[in-house]
Amino acid sequence: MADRIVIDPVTRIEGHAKITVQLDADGRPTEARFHVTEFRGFEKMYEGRPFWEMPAITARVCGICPVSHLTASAKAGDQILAVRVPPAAVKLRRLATWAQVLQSHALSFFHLSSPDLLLGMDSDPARRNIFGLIAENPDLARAGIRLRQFGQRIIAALGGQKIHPAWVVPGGVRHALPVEEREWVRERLPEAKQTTLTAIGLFKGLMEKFRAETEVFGKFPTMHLGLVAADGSWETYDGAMRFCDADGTTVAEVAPARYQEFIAEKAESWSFVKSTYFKPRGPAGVYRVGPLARLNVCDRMGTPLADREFIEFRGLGREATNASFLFHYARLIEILCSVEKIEQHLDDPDLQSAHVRAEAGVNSPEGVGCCEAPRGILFHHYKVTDDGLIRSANLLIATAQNNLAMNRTVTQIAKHYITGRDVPEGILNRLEAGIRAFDPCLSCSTHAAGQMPLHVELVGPDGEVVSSLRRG
Amino acid sequence: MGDVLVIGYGNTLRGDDGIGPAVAEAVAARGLPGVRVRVVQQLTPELAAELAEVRRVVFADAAVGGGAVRAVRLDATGAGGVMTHTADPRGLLALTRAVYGREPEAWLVTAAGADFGFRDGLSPTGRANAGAAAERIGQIIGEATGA
Repeated sequence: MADRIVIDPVTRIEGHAKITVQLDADGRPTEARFHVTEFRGFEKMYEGRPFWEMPAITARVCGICPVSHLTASAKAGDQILAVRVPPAAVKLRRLATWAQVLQSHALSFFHLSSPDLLLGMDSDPARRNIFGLIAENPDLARAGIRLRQFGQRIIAALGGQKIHPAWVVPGGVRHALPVEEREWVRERLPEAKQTTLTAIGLFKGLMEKFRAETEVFGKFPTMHLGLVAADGSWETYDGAMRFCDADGTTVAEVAPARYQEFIAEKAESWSFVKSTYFKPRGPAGVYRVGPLARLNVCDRMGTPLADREFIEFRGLGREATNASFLFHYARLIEILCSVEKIEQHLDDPDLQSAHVRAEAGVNSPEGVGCCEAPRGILFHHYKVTDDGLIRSANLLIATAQNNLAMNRTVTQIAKHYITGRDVPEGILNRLEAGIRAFDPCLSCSTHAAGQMPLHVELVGPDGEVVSSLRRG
Repeated sequence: MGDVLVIGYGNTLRGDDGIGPAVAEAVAARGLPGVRVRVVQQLTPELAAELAEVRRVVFADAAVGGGAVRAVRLDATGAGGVMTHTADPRGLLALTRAVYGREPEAWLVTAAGADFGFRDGLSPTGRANAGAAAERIGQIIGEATGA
């Protein structure tokens, strides 16, 4: 008799999802799937809205990475206006994207993944959370909170106290960085840098302990996709989209506006999230996006300390840097690079410029905006009427682009660890942790309660529950 | 240490889920001395740093069903151990206590919503209840500040 293991919901990710593991008659896993179980109807909601409003509207989809949606949306608007965005506005937008990467990655590492890493995959699940982490390492927990606060404060300084400000607008931004906020940032920079370096040291010290997880948490060759600057360095705001093979060979490097020539989307009957693949290779063209992919496609980071870590990361070899467990490592290097980028640019007088917005009417019927969200490359594609009303909108998010790789990851973990119908909690946690490495953001459409119990069921082909495990 | 922090939270693209932000904005419009207002989509861990710096915090949220407006005292007792990208007020209070060794006096004020569909703006019921919730928060703040 074939059985199925269900993990519903997956905890410590953004949104609602579950994992099922299909077992054969001997209790061996044959396939695992990551299902997104909530429907998001936002794209339909955009139709008929003025494109000028889209940054503020789309930013409200997500409470974790609003700046990324603001930026991609405004960049699509830039193309519809057909204007040259003032250089000062570009610099201010870049500052916001670095702050966004920093604060989102800090949440992922310090609050969501550190309990697994520091307390252990098999530790008591009642304690394997942020409170257990505080008990184990209160200084690290406090530093993580302050690091995220640092990024959020920069975003608030640029956009106001509301989390979804319409600060980034088509044509530029609304205002510059206030001087008093610049000084606050300067004061906190050393602490942010030190916290990040401490975390990197901590993670590198744990890599030996997690050797087994590194080998089976989504370690397989795939393509990678990310933005790169004109000089090939790490990029979050602009540049070309570069696809590379698992061995690092560049397969394509093109303008993001051509994304539909290279990325195909397909719907799955078992999930509300679509899957994407590299179009020229068909469904076999699996690629990953996000921190790991960005560090696989770029030639260097572009800041001293991050470049030092980057060399060490890439020194692990191309086979190693195809391991999804190293998303954590890549995430920390990106925090470091963001801190350094903020430091390098803080004294640029353009950050206080009054010339931050180009204004125009509708000069093009279509626009594609692209930037790197913390979880991976993000596209907003709008078609508008002559009056600037949205005729159609397509948002291509990171989680969809990692969907095939996430499914291969849970399958790999299931096949390695599950040997029968009695599955220890620590193994189920590894399945979840494999997903958490990608830090998927499913964008809660409403704010769900913090308590997300884990429910695991073994279900027979006739729907009968053979056994059940619940925690939380 | 500040006096009062009001945090309104919810997703304003989900109809009456935007009650919390609407309540917070109504409180902010009053310009009360010693009162800081935050509007967020969801409660996230770094808010613990702000909670540690105030004497009293008032969370404003939407509710499904129940009375039009409800105000309850909260503390960290019974908070769940799991914290995800988002938290509930009790979990955030527990985090504040665990990290900073103290938690402010806390209230949760909820207003019932009627429509949580995909749309921008509150329903008439949600709007009326949000106004009543802002009034109730005004009373709580008055008790805290002696105003």
